Amino acid sequence: MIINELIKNFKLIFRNWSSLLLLILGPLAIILIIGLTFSGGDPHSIVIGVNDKGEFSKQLTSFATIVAYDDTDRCVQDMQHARVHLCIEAETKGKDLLAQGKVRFLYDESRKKLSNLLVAEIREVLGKSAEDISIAATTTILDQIQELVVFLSDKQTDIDAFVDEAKLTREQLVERGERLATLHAEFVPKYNEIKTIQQRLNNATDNSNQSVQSVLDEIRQTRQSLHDLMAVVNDSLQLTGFSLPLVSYNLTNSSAQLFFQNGTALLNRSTNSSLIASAIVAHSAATLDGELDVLANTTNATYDELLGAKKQIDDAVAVLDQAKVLLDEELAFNNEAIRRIDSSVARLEQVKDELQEGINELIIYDPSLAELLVKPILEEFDVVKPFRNVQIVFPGLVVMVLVFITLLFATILTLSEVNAAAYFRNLIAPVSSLWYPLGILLTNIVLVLFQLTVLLVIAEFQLGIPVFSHAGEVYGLATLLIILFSALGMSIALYVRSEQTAVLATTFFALGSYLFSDLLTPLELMPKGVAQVAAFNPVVITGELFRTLFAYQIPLSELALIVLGVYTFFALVLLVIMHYRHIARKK
Amino acid sequence: MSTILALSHVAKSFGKVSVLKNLSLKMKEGETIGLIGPSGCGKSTVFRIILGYYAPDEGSISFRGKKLNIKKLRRIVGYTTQDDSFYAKLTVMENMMYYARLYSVRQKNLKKHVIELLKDVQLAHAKDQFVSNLSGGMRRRLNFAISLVHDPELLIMDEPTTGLDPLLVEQFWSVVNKVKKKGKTVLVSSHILDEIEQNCDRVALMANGRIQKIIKPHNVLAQFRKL
Repeated sequence: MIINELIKNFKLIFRNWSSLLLLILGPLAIILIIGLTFSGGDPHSIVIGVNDKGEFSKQLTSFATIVAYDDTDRCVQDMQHARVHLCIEAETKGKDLLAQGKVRFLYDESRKKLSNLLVAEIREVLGKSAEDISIAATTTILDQIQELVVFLSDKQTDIDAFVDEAKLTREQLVERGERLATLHAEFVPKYNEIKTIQQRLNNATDNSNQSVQSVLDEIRQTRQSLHDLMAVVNDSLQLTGFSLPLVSYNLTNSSAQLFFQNGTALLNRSTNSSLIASAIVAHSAATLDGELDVLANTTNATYDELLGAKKQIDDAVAVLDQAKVLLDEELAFNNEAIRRIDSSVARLEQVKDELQEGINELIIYDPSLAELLVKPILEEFDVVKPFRNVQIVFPGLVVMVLVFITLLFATILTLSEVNAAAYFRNLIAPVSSLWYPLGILLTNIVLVLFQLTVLLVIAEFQLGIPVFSHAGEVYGLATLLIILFSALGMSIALYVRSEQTAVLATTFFALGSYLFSDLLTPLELMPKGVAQVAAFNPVVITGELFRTLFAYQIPLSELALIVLGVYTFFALVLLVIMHYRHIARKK
Repeated sequence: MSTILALSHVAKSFGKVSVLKNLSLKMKEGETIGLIGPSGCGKSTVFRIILGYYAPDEGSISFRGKKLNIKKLRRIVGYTTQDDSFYAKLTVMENMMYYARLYSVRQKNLKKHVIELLKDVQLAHAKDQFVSNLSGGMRRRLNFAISLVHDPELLIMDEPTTGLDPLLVEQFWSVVNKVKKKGKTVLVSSHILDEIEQNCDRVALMANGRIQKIIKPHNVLAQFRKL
């Protein structure tokens, strides 16, 4: 039965040359238009008006014709008259590190799509320029920082050398200090000994002085006494005719000789013992006096020597005092020097560490990081997968083509059938009247799938859009969509009955489906409530399924298919209702 | 002859308009009954009720004493429509085959059966012609042939010769009579009294929604005027 219907329907369609041509040429024309329209690349034939007080516009000549304006308002007027696509007011100043500028874009929001594209292109150029300038400046600064790092590293080396020298000097000072300490340790006891000796000597000298004076006094007194004695004796001797001084005498037991200064030997002992004794006494006294004189001289000499020695010792001790002071001072100075060196070395080490910290902080600023510093947050806009324009629009267009064709074909076929002369005869045939709309439905499915196949073949082999890799899913989804919209189109035809009105109603329905979808405006840009409703538009659902399938080969969402299935079910129910309503009205 | 079709007290209204009121008619097997009446009297309604297209508000329809469901009734009733009722863009043969399959005609060689039928209606020579290329008479014969494709026992013809010239009318009836010889029962409506008188066994006069009188096919006009 159904085959009978299909054969009849296809014969009727194919015997209409215009329909046949439309069936084959229609999808070809559509896909050709799609391919031509969306195969473009970068924008072209762009005219940009620029009021430029610098040299900004030179950067834009690569993708647009630049028209210079002195007055931005004139440019805006021309833009409103579509003579220019965009107006730019630019002012740049400064050079190199100090280059800066201000750019103002005036774009026509009534041509938002193109304007947004142009602004994005220019932003990329501009951003790149500003970025390049910043990067160049930053690179220069970083180069200088690196030079500073090298300089600081050199100074660090110098500091190391200073520290080494200081340490060497310290070592020498320590060594010297040790020697000084050793010397000091040896010197001080000796010094103290010497000082003690000096003191003792001073004391002794003082004491000696007194003693010497006392001795000299006594010697003097003794000599005086002797002189007195000698005088007496001399007087006595003179009396004898001898004179002093007695030079020597030689006393023996047997004789005694006195030799006086004139060499006269004195008498023998036996002669005048008292004289001899006096002579001896006188001689002895003279001798003693002489000896006392010698003693006094010796004592004086010794005392003088002692004084001399004392003086020498005092001088030496004075020198030793100075030496000690110097030694102490040297030792103290040495220690102080060591301490200062330690302190300086510690400070130098600290400075070196601080320098190193600074170097460590600065060394990371390699000139190669200039770009990173200018753009600390690296923005990488990577497409997950690149698509050409035609690939982007293809899923949505396929859906719309399917919807429009399905609706129109369904309406026209239905109207052709119900308005056909044979329709009444069909209704009185001994079969369910539902076979006829079912036949139309299936005929429509086959027709539209054929058109879809033409679309897909050209898309696959001409436009390079891979669609047949998931042919089963594509056709399955398309069939569901076709059934849904066929049922709707047929329902419209059965409800309206007038061909003109039905075609209009179908067209408006298709248009409404298109406008209330994300093919023109993303759902995310619609008012929230509207978007929530639009999300249930079968055009939106199917478009999304096709998009993910063609773009990423993601299998069809079960939930979406269920939703479409429910829509289709209700559309079929509607069709059945409309069918019986139509028959009832016909009666 | 047995009664093949019986309409008993059938009534049918469309909205407030009562088209058929207590209409009763019995047809014997093999006879040809002409149904005449003024335009709008309900002739087509009677036919459509017989075909099951309309359900009667009252009364009953029985075939050979049995009430049949619509499908079974349609298998044994053939209907020649007043207007052309086929697909002009199909050929004669294609139209016939389509309806043969639609009526589930089970023949070993369906094509041969259809060609034979076309021969009966003198259209075999034009079987491969598109219907749009046929003359008026040929179209009527095709219309007639289609109503016979399933070999119905009862044939209903609703003003089958309207618009045909007398020659074509004669031609048409010669075909019908030829087919009638196979034992078909025919119920035909027409405004052409001559063809009714010449071709019918009985004439049912219809007025005011009911069969007023069933008469012999003589002086039909005079009888009708009396109503």
